[in-house]
Amino acid sequence: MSDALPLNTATELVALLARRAVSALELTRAFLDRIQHLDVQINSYITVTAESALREARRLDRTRGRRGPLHGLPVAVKDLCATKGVRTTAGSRILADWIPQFDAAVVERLRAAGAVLLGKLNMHELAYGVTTNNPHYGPTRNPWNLERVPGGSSGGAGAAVAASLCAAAVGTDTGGSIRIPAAACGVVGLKPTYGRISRYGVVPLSWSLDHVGPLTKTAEDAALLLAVLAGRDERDPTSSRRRVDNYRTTVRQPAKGLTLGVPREHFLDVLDAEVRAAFAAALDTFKQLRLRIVPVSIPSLPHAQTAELAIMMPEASAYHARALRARPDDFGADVRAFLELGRQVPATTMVAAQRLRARLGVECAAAFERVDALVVPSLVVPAPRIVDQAVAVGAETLDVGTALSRNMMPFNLTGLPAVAVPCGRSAEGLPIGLQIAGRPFDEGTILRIAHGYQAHTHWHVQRPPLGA
Amino acid sequence: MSDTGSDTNAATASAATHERQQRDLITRTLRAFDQLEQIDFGELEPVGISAPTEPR
Repeated sequence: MSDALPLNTATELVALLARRAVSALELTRAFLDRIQHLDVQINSYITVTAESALREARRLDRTRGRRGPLHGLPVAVKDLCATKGVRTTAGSRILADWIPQFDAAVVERLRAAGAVLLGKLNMHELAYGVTTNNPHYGPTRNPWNLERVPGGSSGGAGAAVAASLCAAAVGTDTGGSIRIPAAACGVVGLKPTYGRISRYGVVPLSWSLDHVGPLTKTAEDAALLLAVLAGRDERDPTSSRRRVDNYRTTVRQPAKGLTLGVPREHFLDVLDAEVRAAFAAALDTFKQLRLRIVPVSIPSLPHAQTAELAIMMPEASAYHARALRARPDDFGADVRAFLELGRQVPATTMVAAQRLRARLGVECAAAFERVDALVVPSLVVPAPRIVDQAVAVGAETLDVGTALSRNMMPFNLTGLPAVAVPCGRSAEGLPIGLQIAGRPFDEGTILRIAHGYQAHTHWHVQRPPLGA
Repeated sequence: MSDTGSDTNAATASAATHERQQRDLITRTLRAFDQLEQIDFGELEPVGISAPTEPR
Protein backbone atom coordinates (compact mmCIF):
# COMPACT_ATOMS: atom_id res chain seq x y z
CA MET A 1 0.00 0.00 0.00
CA SER A 2 2.80 2.46 0.88
CA ASP A 3 4.25 2.43 -2.64
CA ALA A 4 0.93 3.52 -4.15
CA LEU A 5 0.07 6.09 -1.48
CA PRO A 6 1.85 9.06 -3.14
CA LEU A 7 -0.21 8.55 -6.31
CA ASN A 8 -3.35 9.75 -4.50
CA THR A 9 -4.55 13.34 -4.68
CA ALA A 10 -3.92 15.67 -1.74
CA THR A 11 -7.66 15.66 -0.99
CA GLU A 12 -7.68 11.86 -0.82
CA LEU A 13 -4.57 11.81 1.37
CA VAL A 14 -5.97 14.40 3.77
CA ALA A 15 -9.08 12.22 4.14
CA LEU A 16 -6.96 9.10 4.80
CA LEU A 17 -4.94 11.01 7.39
CA ALA A 18 -8.07 12.43 9.05
CA ARG A 19 -9.56 9.00 9.63
CA ARG A 20 -6.13 7.68 10.63
CA ALA A 21 -6.09 5.10 7.84
CA VAL A 22 -2.52 6.22 7.33
CA SER A 23 -0.10 8.02 9.64
CA ALA A 24 1.86 11.14 8.78
CA LEU A 25 5.05 9.14 9.31
CA GLU A 26 4.00 6.33 6.97
CA LEU A 27 3.00 8.83 4.30
CA THR A 28 6.14 10.92 4.67
CA ARG A 29 8.30 7.80 4.38
CA ALA A 30 6.42 6.76 1.23
CA PHE A 31 7.14 10.11 -0.43
CA LEU A 32 10.78 10.16 0.70
CA ASP A 33 11.28 6.62 -0.69
CA ARG A 34 9.79 7.71 -3.99
CA ILE A 35 12.01 10.81 -4.12
CA GLN A 36 15.05 8.65 -3.44
CA HIS A 37 14.21 6.24 -6.25
CA LEU A 38 12.89 8.60 -8.92
CA ASP A 39 14.38 12.03 -8.43
CA VAL A 40 17.79 10.86 -9.61
CA GLN A 41 16.24 11.03 -13.09
CA ILE A 42 13.92 14.01 -12.69
CA ASN A 43 16.00 16.34 -10.49
CA SER A 44 12.97 18.17 -9.14
CA TYR A 45 14.47 18.87 -5.72
CA ILE A 46 17.44 21.07 -4.85
CA THR A 47 17.24 20.13 -1.16
CA VAL A 48 15.37 17.23 0.46
CA THR A 49 14.75 17.83 4.16
CA ALA A 50 14.25 14.16 5.03
CA GLU A 51 15.28 14.30 8.69
CA SER A 52 13.19 17.30 9.64
CA ALA A 53 10.24 15.90 7.63
CA LEU A 54 10.33 12.61 9.52
CA ARG A 55 10.70 14.47 12.83
CA GLU A 56 7.72 16.69 12.02
CA ALA A 57 5.63 13.70 10.88
CA ARG A 58 6.31 11.90 14.19
CA ARG A 59 5.36 15.05 16.10
CA LEU A 60 2.12 15.40 14.12
CA ASP A 61 1.24 11.75 14.77
CA ARG A 62 1.59 12.40 18.52
CA THR A 63 -0.59 15.55 18.37
CA ARG A 64 -3.90 15.39 20.19
CA GLY A 65 -6.80 17.79 19.83
CA ARG A 66 -7.36 20.18 16.93
CA ARG A 67 -5.71 19.22 13.63
CA GLY A 68 -5.01 21.59 10.75
CA PRO A 69 -6.55 21.08 7.28
CA LEU A 70 -3.29 19.67 5.90
CA HIS A 71 -2.40 17.62 9.00
CA GLY A 72 0.38 15.20 7.99
CA LEU A 73 0.32 16.05 4.26
CA PRO A 74 3.82 16.00 2.67
CA VAL A 75 4.37 19.07 0.49
CA ALA A 76 7.29 20.95 -1.06
CA VAL A 77 8.00 24.57 -1.98
CA LYS A 78 9.93 26.25 -4.77
CA ASP A 79 13.42 27.11 -3.60
CA LEU A 80 12.77 30.84 -3.52
CA CYS A 81 10.44 30.60 -0.51
CA ALA A 82 12.49 31.35 2.60
CA THR A 83 12.68 28.41 5.01
CA LYS A 84 14.07 28.90 8.50
CA GLY A 85 17.34 27.04 8.88
CA VAL A 86 17.12 25.50 5.39
CA ARG A 87 19.19 26.75 2.46
CA THR A 88 17.16 28.84 0.03
CA THR A 89 18.98 29.29 -3.26
CA ALA A 90 16.33 30.69 -5.64
CA GLY A 91 18.03 28.34 -8.08
CA SER A 92 21.02 30.66 -8.19
CA ARG A 93 24.69 30.74 -7.33
CA ILE A 94 24.11 34.25 -5.97
CA LEU A 95 22.03 32.86 -3.06
CA ALA A 96 23.71 29.44 -2.91
CA ASP A 97 24.68 29.88 0.74
CA TRP A 98 21.64 31.72 2.06
CA ILE A 99 20.14 30.07 5.13
CA PRO A 100 17.21 32.28 6.19
CA GLN A 101 16.40 32.82 9.83
CA PHE A 102 12.69 33.02 9.05
CA ASP A 103 9.95 31.29 7.08
CA ALA A 104 8.14 32.86 4.13
CA ALA A 105 4.47 33.56 4.89
CA VAL A 106 3.37 30.63 2.72
CA VAL A 107 5.72 28.29 4.57
CA GLU A 108 4.38 29.55 7.91
CA ARG A 109 0.84 28.90 6.71
CA LEU A 110 1.65 25.41 5.43
CA ARG A 111 3.30 24.50 8.73
CA ALA A 112 0.41 25.99 10.76
CA ALA A 113 -2.02 23.87 8.71
CA GLY A 114 -0.07 20.73 9.65
CA ALA A 115 1.79 20.13 6.38
CA VAL A 116 5.11 18.28 6.39
CA LEU A 117 7.81 20.03 4.33
CA LEU A 118 9.68 17.47 2.19
CA GLY A 119 12.12 19.97 0.70
CA LYS A 120 12.91 22.75 -1.72
CA LEU A 121 12.15 22.45 -5.41
CA ASN A 122 14.33 23.17 -8.42
CA MET A 123 13.47 26.17 -10.58
CA HIS A 124 14.71 28.34 -13.40
CA GLU A 125 17.51 30.50 -11.99
CA LEU A 126 15.98 33.39 -9.99
CA ALA A 127 12.59 32.53 -11.58
CA TYR A 128 13.78 34.37 -14.70
CA GLY A 129 12.97 31.85 -17.44
CA VAL A 130 10.55 29.15 -18.47
CA THR A 131 12.56 25.94 -18.94
CA THR A 132 14.18 25.05 -15.57
CA ASN A 133 17.36 24.27 -17.46
CA ASN A 134 19.24 25.35 -14.37
CA PRO A 135 23.00 25.85 -14.93
CA HIS A 136 23.84 25.56 -11.22
CA TYR A 137 21.66 22.67 -9.98
CA GLY A 138 21.07 20.82 -13.25
CA PRO A 139 17.98 20.71 -15.45
CA THR A 140 14.71 19.35 -14.14
CA ARG A 141 13.25 16.78 -16.53
CA ASN A 142 9.64 16.32 -17.52
CA PRO A 143 8.28 13.09 -15.96
CA TRP A 144 6.27 12.38 -19.14
CA ASN A 145 9.42 12.42 -21.26
CA LEU A 146 12.84 12.86 -19.71
CA GLU A 147 14.21 14.59 -22.81
CA ARG A 148 11.63 17.38 -22.44
CA VAL A 149 11.56 20.43 -20.19
CA PRO A 150 8.99 20.55 -17.39
CA GLY A 151 8.42 24.23 -18.12
CA GLY A 152 9.31 26.91 -15.62
CA SER A 153 10.17 28.72 -13.69
CA SER A 154 8.48 26.45 -11.11
CA GLY A 155 9.61 23.41 -13.11
CA GLY A 156 10.64 21.41 -10.05
CA ALA A 157 7.15 21.94 -8.61
CA GLY A 158 5.37 20.84 -11.80
CA ALA A 159 7.59 17.78 -12.21
CA ALA A 160 7.40 16.79 -8.52
CA VAL A 161 3.59 16.95 -8.44
CA ALA A 162 3.29 15.05 -11.74
CA ALA A 163 5.71 12.34 -10.58
CA SER A 164 4.03 12.16 -7.14
CA LEU A 165 7.20 13.26 -5.36
CA CYS A 166 5.08 15.52 -3.13
CA ALA A 167 1.34 15.71 -2.53
CA ALA A 168 1.24 19.37 -3.54
CA ALA A 169 3.67 22.20 -4.15
CA VAL A 170 3.91 25.96 -3.93
CA GLY A 171 5.36 27.93 -6.84
CA THR A 172 5.47 31.49 -8.11
CA ASP A 173 4.22 33.06 -11.33
CA THR A 174 5.49 36.32 -12.84
CA GLY A 175 4.95 35.52 -16.52
CA GLY A 176 3.36 32.07 -16.32
CA SER A 177 5.76 30.29 -13.98
CA ILE A 178 3.07 28.28 -12.19
CA ARG A 179 0.81 27.65 -15.18
CA ILE A 180 3.58 26.81 -17.68
CA PRO A 181 4.98 23.87 -15.67
CA ALA A 182 1.46 22.79 -14.73
CA ALA A 183 0.54 22.62 -18.43
CA ALA A 184 3.81 20.98 -19.48
CA CYS A 185 3.60 18.34 -16.75
CA GLY A 186 -0.16 17.68 -16.89
CA VAL A 187 -1.10 19.01 -13.44
CA VAL A 188 -3.16 21.89 -12.09
CA GLY A 189 -1.50 25.26 -11.46
CA LEU A 190 -3.33 28.18 -9.88
CA LYS A 191 -2.12 31.76 -10.14
CA PRO A 192 -4.47 33.57 -7.79
CA THR A 193 -5.40 37.23 -7.96
CA TYR A 194 -2.56 39.68 -7.30
CA GLY A 195 -2.54 40.24 -3.54
CA ARG A 196 -4.50 37.09 -2.61
CA ILE A 197 -1.47 35.20 -1.22
CA SER A 198 1.29 36.95 0.71
CA ARG A 199 4.69 37.20 -0.95
CA TYR A 200 6.52 37.91 2.31
CA GLY A 201 9.76 35.95 2.33
CA VAL A 202 9.63 35.04 -1.36
CA VAL A 203 12.60 36.17 -3.46
CA PRO A 204 11.11 38.66 -5.96
CA LEU A 205 11.52 38.75 -9.71
CA SER A 206 9.20 41.64 -10.55
CA TRP A 207 7.27 43.25 -7.69
CA SER A 208 4.19 44.30 -9.64
CA LEU A 209 3.82 40.98 -11.48
CA ASP A 210 4.85 38.29 -8.96
CA HIS A 211 2.20 35.91 -7.62
CA VAL A 212 2.45 32.87 -5.32
CA GLY A 213 0.19 29.84 -5.77
CA PRO A 214 -0.25 26.07 -5.60
CA LEU A 215 0.51 23.27 -8.08
CA THR A 216 -1.59 20.19 -7.46
CA LYS A 217 -3.02 17.08 -9.10
CA THR A 218 -6.60 18.41 -9.23
CA ALA A 219 -8.67 21.58 -8.98
CA GLU A 220 -10.09 20.27 -5.70
CA ASP A 221 -6.54 20.01 -4.35
CA ALA A 222 -5.86 23.58 -5.50
CA ALA A 223 -8.90 24.75 -3.51
CA LEU A 224 -7.58 22.86 -0.47
CA LEU A 225 -4.21 24.59 -0.72
CA LEU A 226 -5.60 28.02 -1.57
CA ALA A 227 -7.82 27.93 1.52
CA VAL A 228 -4.66 27.55 3.60
CA LEU A 229 -2.43 30.01 1.73
CA ALA A 230 -4.80 32.93 1.06
CA GLY A 231 -5.27 35.87 3.40
CA ARG A 232 -4.04 39.24 4.56
CA ASP A 233 -0.45 39.61 5.71
CA GLU A 234 0.65 42.97 7.12
CA ARG A 235 4.24 42.23 6.09
CA ASP A 236 3.33 42.29 2.39
CA PRO A 237 2.03 45.75 1.43
CA THR A 238 0.33 44.33 -1.67
CA SER A 239 -1.58 41.73 0.31
CA SER A 240 -5.36 42.12 0.07
CA ARG A 241 -7.76 42.71 2.96
CA ARG A 242 -10.58 41.01 1.09
CA ARG A 243 -12.40 38.18 2.79
CA VAL A 244 -11.13 34.72 1.89
CA ASP A 245 -13.86 32.59 0.32
CA ASN A 246 -14.65 29.05 1.36
CA TYR A 247 -12.95 27.55 -1.69
CA ARG A 248 -13.37 23.93 -0.56
CA THR A 249 -17.13 24.34 -0.65
CA THR A 250 -17.30 26.54 -3.74
CA VAL A 251 -15.17 24.16 -5.82
CA ARG A 252 -17.81 21.43 -5.51
CA GLN A 253 -20.72 23.58 -6.64
CA PRO A 254 -22.03 22.80 -10.14
CA ALA A 255 -20.68 24.94 -12.95
CA LYS A 256 -23.75 24.37 -15.11
CA GLY A 257 -25.26 27.58 -16.45
CA LEU A 258 -22.08 29.65 -16.26
CA THR A 259 -20.86 31.53 -19.34
CA LEU A 260 -17.31 31.16 -20.67
CA GLY A 261 -15.77 33.74 -22.97
CA VAL A 262 -13.24 32.85 -25.65
CA PRO A 263 -11.25 35.95 -26.63
CA ARG A 264 -11.16 36.63 -30.36
CA GLU A 265 -7.70 38.15 -30.10
CA HIS A 266 -4.25 36.67 -29.44
CA PHE A 267 -4.79 33.32 -27.70
CA LEU A 268 -5.75 31.27 -30.77
CA ASP A 269 -3.58 33.08 -33.33
CA VAL A 270 -0.41 31.01 -32.89
CA LEU A 271 -1.20 27.45 -31.88
CA ASP A 272 0.08 23.95 -32.52
CA ALA A 273 -2.51 21.81 -34.37
CA GLU A 274 -2.75 19.22 -31.58
CA VAL A 275 -3.24 21.95 -28.97
CA ARG A 276 -5.95 23.55 -31.13
CA ALA A 277 -7.77 20.20 -31.45
CA ALA A 278 -7.54 19.49 -27.71
CA PHE A 279 -8.84 22.96 -26.90
CA ALA A 280 -11.77 22.54 -29.31
CA ALA A 281 -12.59 19.20 -27.68
CA ALA A 282 -12.51 20.87 -24.25
CA LEU A 283 -14.96 23.53 -25.43
CA ASP A 284 -17.27 20.72 -26.58
CA THR A 285 -17.02 19.16 -23.11
CA PHE A 286 -17.95 22.47 -21.50
CA LYS A 287 -20.98 22.69 -23.77
CA GLN A 288 -22.00 19.14 -22.81
CA LEU A 289 -21.76 20.28 -19.19
CA ARG A 290 -24.27 23.05 -20.04
CA LEU A 291 -21.84 25.93 -19.88
CA ARG A 292 -22.39 28.61 -22.48
CA ILE A 293 -19.45 29.53 -24.74
CA VAL A 294 -19.41 33.01 -26.30
CA PRO A 295 -16.75 35.01 -28.14
CA VAL A 296 -15.48 38.17 -26.45
CA SER A 297 -13.25 40.97 -27.64
CA ILE A 298 -10.27 42.27 -25.64
CA PRO A 299 -8.49 44.43 -28.25
CA SER A 300 -5.28 45.17 -26.31
CA LEU A 301 -4.36 41.50 -25.84
CA PRO A 302 -1.86 41.43 -28.75
CA HIS A 303 0.29 44.02 -26.90
CA ALA A 304 0.14 42.30 -23.51
CA GLN A 305 3.29 40.20 -23.83
CA THR A 306 5.40 43.19 -24.87
CA ALA A 307 3.92 45.34 -22.10
CA GLU A 308 4.65 42.63 -19.55
CA LEU A 309 8.30 42.44 -20.69
CA ALA A 310 8.63 46.24 -20.57
CA ILE A 311 7.61 46.15 -16.91
CA MET A 312 9.17 42.87 -15.79
CA MET A 313 12.62 43.43 -17.28
CA PRO A 314 13.41 46.78 -15.59
CA GLU A 315 11.85 45.63 -12.31
CA ALA A 316 14.01 42.47 -12.34
CA SER A 317 17.12 44.45 -13.28
CA ALA A 318 16.43 46.92 -10.48
CA TYR A 319 16.05 44.15 -7.91
CA HIS A 320 19.24 42.36 -8.98
CA ALA A 321 21.27 45.53 -9.76
CA ARG A 322 23.70 45.21 -6.87
CA ALA A 323 24.44 41.53 -7.48
CA LEU A 324 24.78 42.14 -11.21
CA ARG A 325 27.40 44.82 -10.55
CA ALA A 326 29.28 42.82 -7.92
CA ARG A 327 29.08 39.25 -9.23
CA PRO A 328 28.12 39.26 -12.93
CA ASP A 329 29.87 35.95 -13.61
CA ASP A 330 27.76 34.17 -10.99
CA PHE A 331 24.62 34.50 -13.13
CA GLY A 332 23.74 31.98 -15.83
CA ALA A 333 24.18 33.29 -19.38
CA ASP A 334 20.46 33.68 -20.20
CA VAL A 335 19.55 35.38 -16.92
CA ARG A 336 22.53 37.73 -17.12
CA ALA A 337 21.62 38.72 -20.69
CA PHE A 338 18.05 39.57 -19.66
CA LEU A 339 19.19 41.47 -16.56
CA GLU A 340 21.59 43.54 -18.65
CA LEU A 341 18.94 44.16 -21.30
CA GLY A 342 16.45 45.23 -18.62
CA ARG A 343 18.70 48.20 -17.80
CA GLN A 344 18.27 49.44 -21.37
CA VAL A 345 14.45 49.62 -21.41
CA PRO A 346 13.51 53.30 -21.85
CA ALA A 347 11.38 54.78 -19.08
CA THR A 348 8.94 55.98 -21.74
CA THR A 349 8.45 52.37 -22.85
CA MET A 350 7.70 51.31 -19.31
CA VAL A 351 5.15 54.11 -18.98
CA ALA A 352 3.51 53.04 -22.24
CA ALA A 353 3.37 49.53 -20.83
CA GLN A 354 1.67 50.79 -17.67
CA ARG A 355 -0.91 52.63 -19.76
CA LEU A 356 -1.51 49.49 -21.80
CA ARG A 357 -1.86 47.57 -18.57
CA ALA A 358 -4.56 49.93 -17.35
CA ARG A 359 -6.37 49.76 -20.68
CA LEU A 360 -6.22 45.96 -20.70
CA GLY A 361 -7.69 45.89 -17.19
CA VAL A 362 -10.63 48.03 -18.33
CA GLU A 363 -11.20 45.83 -21.39
CA CYS A 364 -11.13 42.65 -19.27
CA ALA A 365 -13.59 44.19 -16.80
CA ALA A 366 -15.92 44.93 -19.73
CA ALA A 367 -15.63 41.31 -20.92
CA PHE A 368 -16.48 40.07 -17.44
CA GLU A 369 -19.75 42.02 -17.63
CA ARG A 370 -20.83 39.37 -20.15
CA VAL A 371 -19.05 36.22 -18.98
CA ASP A 372 -18.17 34.44 -15.75
CA ALA A 373 -14.72 33.34 -16.90
CA LEU A 374 -12.42 33.27 -19.90
CA VAL A 375 -11.17 29.99 -21.32
CA VAL A 376 -8.02 29.81 -23.46
CA PRO A 377 -5.27 27.31 -24.30
CA SER A 378 -2.32 27.19 -21.87
CA LEU A 379 0.88 26.41 -23.79
CA VAL A 380 0.80 26.94 -27.55
CA VAL A 381 2.94 23.80 -27.98
CA PRO A 382 3.59 20.68 -25.87
CA ALA A 383 6.78 20.74 -23.78
CA PRO A 384 9.89 21.43 -25.95
CA ARG A 385 13.04 19.31 -25.75
CA ILE A 386 15.67 20.35 -23.22
CA VAL A 387 18.09 21.12 -26.07
CA ASP A 388 15.62 23.30 -28.00
CA GLN A 389 16.21 27.04 -28.23
CA ALA A 390 13.30 27.57 -30.61
CA VAL A 391 10.10 25.71 -31.51
CA ALA A 392 7.95 25.56 -34.63
CA VAL A 393 4.34 26.55 -33.98
CA GLY A 394 2.38 26.07 -37.17
CA ALA A 395 4.11 28.21 -39.79
CA GLU A 396 6.03 30.27 -37.21
CA THR A 397 9.25 29.63 -35.34
CA LEU A 398 9.36 31.15 -31.87
CA ASP A 399 12.08 31.14 -29.25
CA VAL A 400 11.10 28.82 -26.40
CA GLY A 401 10.58 31.65 -23.89
CA THR A 402 8.23 33.58 -26.16
CA ALA A 403 6.30 30.43 -27.07
CA LEU A 404 5.75 29.15 -23.55
CA SER A 405 4.84 32.49 -21.98
CA ARG A 406 2.70 33.77 -24.86
CA ASN A 407 -0.69 32.81 -23.44
CA MET A 408 0.24 33.42 -19.82
CA MET A 409 1.36 37.02 -19.50
CA PRO A 410 -2.01 38.78 -19.99
CA PHE A 411 -3.10 37.44 -16.60
CA ASN A 412 0.05 38.59 -14.82
CA LEU A 413 -0.31 42.04 -16.29
CA THR A 414 -3.94 42.30 -15.18
CA GLY A 415 -3.46 40.39 -11.92
CA LEU A 416 -6.52 38.28 -12.74
CA PRO A 417 -6.75 34.76 -11.29
CA ALA A 418 -6.05 31.94 -13.77
CA VAL A 419 -5.87 28.18 -13.37
CA ALA A 420 -4.13 25.80 -15.78
CA VAL A 421 -5.80 22.41 -16.18
CA PRO A 422 -4.74 19.39 -18.31
CA CYS A 423 -7.04 18.79 -21.28
CA GLY A 424 -5.29 16.34 -23.59
CA ARG A 425 -2.18 14.51 -24.78
CA SER A 426 -0.14 14.98 -27.92
CA ALA A 427 0.61 12.07 -30.26
CA GLU A 428 3.91 11.76 -28.38
CA GLY A 429 2.06 11.47 -25.08
CA LEU A 430 2.89 14.97 -23.81
CA PRO A 431 0.32 16.89 -21.75
CA ILE A 432 -1.77 19.67 -23.30
CA GLY A 433 -3.60 22.18 -21.14
CA LEU A 434 -6.17 24.95 -21.00
CA GLN A 435 -6.53 27.98 -18.72
CA ILE A 436 -9.59 29.38 -17.04
CA ALA A 437 -9.29 33.01 -15.93
CA GLY A 438 -11.72 34.87 -13.71
CA ARG A 439 -12.72 38.18 -12.20
CA PRO A 440 -10.47 39.63 -9.50
CA PHE A 441 -10.67 37.53 -6.32
CA ASP A 442 -13.09 35.09 -7.93
CA GLU A 443 -10.84 32.05 -7.61
CA GLY A 444 -13.89 30.11 -6.41
CA THR A 445 -15.60 30.31 -9.79
CA ILE A 446 -12.59 29.29 -11.89
CA LEU A 447 -11.84 26.36 -9.57
CA ARG A 448 -15.49 25.35 -9.72
CA ILE A 449 -15.37 25.31 -13.54
CA ALA A 450 -12.08 23.39 -13.49
CA HIS A 451 -13.47 20.85 -11.03
CA GLY A 452 -16.62 20.43 -13.14
CA TYR A 453 -14.42 19.75 -16.15
CA GLN A 454 -12.29 17.24 -14.24
CA ALA A 455 -15.36 15.42 -12.96
CA HIS A 456 -16.17 14.56 -16.59
CA THR A 457 -12.68 14.02 -18.04
CA HIS A 458 -9.77 11.73 -17.25
CA TRP A 459 -6.66 13.77 -18.09
CA HIS A 460 -5.93 14.62 -14.45
CA VAL A 461 -6.03 10.99 -13.27
CA GLN A 462 -3.35 9.83 -15.72
CA ARG A 463 0.12 9.51 -14.19
CA PRO A 464 3.46 9.50 -16.03
CA PRO A 465 4.74 5.95 -16.66
CA LEU A 466 7.88 6.62 -14.62
CA GLY A 467 7.64 4.29 -11.61
CA ALA A 468 3.86 4.69 -11.49
CA MET B 1 39.90 11.65 -32.46
CA SER B 2 37.64 12.59 -35.36
CA ASP B 3 34.62 12.12 -33.03
CA THR B 4 36.05 14.65 -30.63
CA GLY B 5 36.67 17.04 -33.51
CA SER B 6 33.12 16.73 -34.81
CA ASP B 7 31.76 17.13 -31.27
CA THR B 8 33.72 20.35 -30.92
CA ASN B 9 32.46 21.61 -34.27
CA ALA B 10 28.88 20.74 -33.34
CA ALA B 11 29.22 22.52 -29.99
CA THR B 12 30.67 25.62 -31.69
CA ALA B 13 27.87 25.64 -34.26
CA SER B 14 25.27 25.21 -31.52
CA ALA B 15 26.77 28.07 -29.50
CA ALA B 16 26.80 30.29 -32.60
CA THR B 17 23.17 29.43 -33.33
CA HIS B 18 22.22 30.15 -29.74
CA GLU B 19 24.03 33.50 -29.84
CA ARG B 20 22.30 34.44 -33.10
CA GLN B 21 18.89 33.47 -31.71
CA GLN B 22 19.60 35.49 -28.58
CA ARG B 23 20.53 38.53 -30.72
CA ASP B 24 17.38 38.09 -32.82
CA LEU B 25 15.28 37.88 -29.71
CA ILE B 26 16.74 41.09 -28.33
CA THR B 27 16.21 42.86 -31.66
CA ARG B 28 12.59 41.69 -31.81
CA THR B 29 11.98 42.72 -28.20
CA LEU B 30 13.37 46.22 -28.74
CA ARG B 31 11.31 46.58 -31.92
CA ALA B 32 8.18 45.53 -30.02
CA PHE B 33 8.99 48.14 -27.36
CA ASP B 34 9.10 50.80 -30.07
CA GLN B 35 5.69 49.66 -31.32
CA LEU B 36 4.32 49.82 -27.79
CA GLU B 37 5.25 53.49 -27.65
CA GLN B 38 3.38 54.08 -30.92
CA ILE B 39 0.01 53.10 -29.38
CA ASP B 40 -2.40 55.99 -29.41
CA PHE B 41 -3.52 56.43 -25.82
CA GLY B 42 -6.27 58.93 -25.09
CA GLU B 43 -5.03 62.04 -23.31
CA LEU B 44 -7.20 61.36 -20.29
CA GLU B 45 -6.66 57.60 -20.21
CA PRO B 46 -5.48 56.66 -16.70
CA VAL B 47 -2.13 55.02 -16.03
CA GLY B 48 -2.00 51.85 -13.93
CA ILE B 49 1.02 51.73 -11.67
CA SER B 50 0.51 48.18 -10.46
CA ALA B 51 -1.76 45.20 -11.04
CA PRO B 52 -5.09 46.97 -11.29
CA THR B 53 -7.16 44.50 -9.30
CA GLU B 54 -7.60 46.54 -6.16
CA PRO B 55 -7.02 50.17 -5.21
CA ARG B 56 -4.46 50.58 -2.47
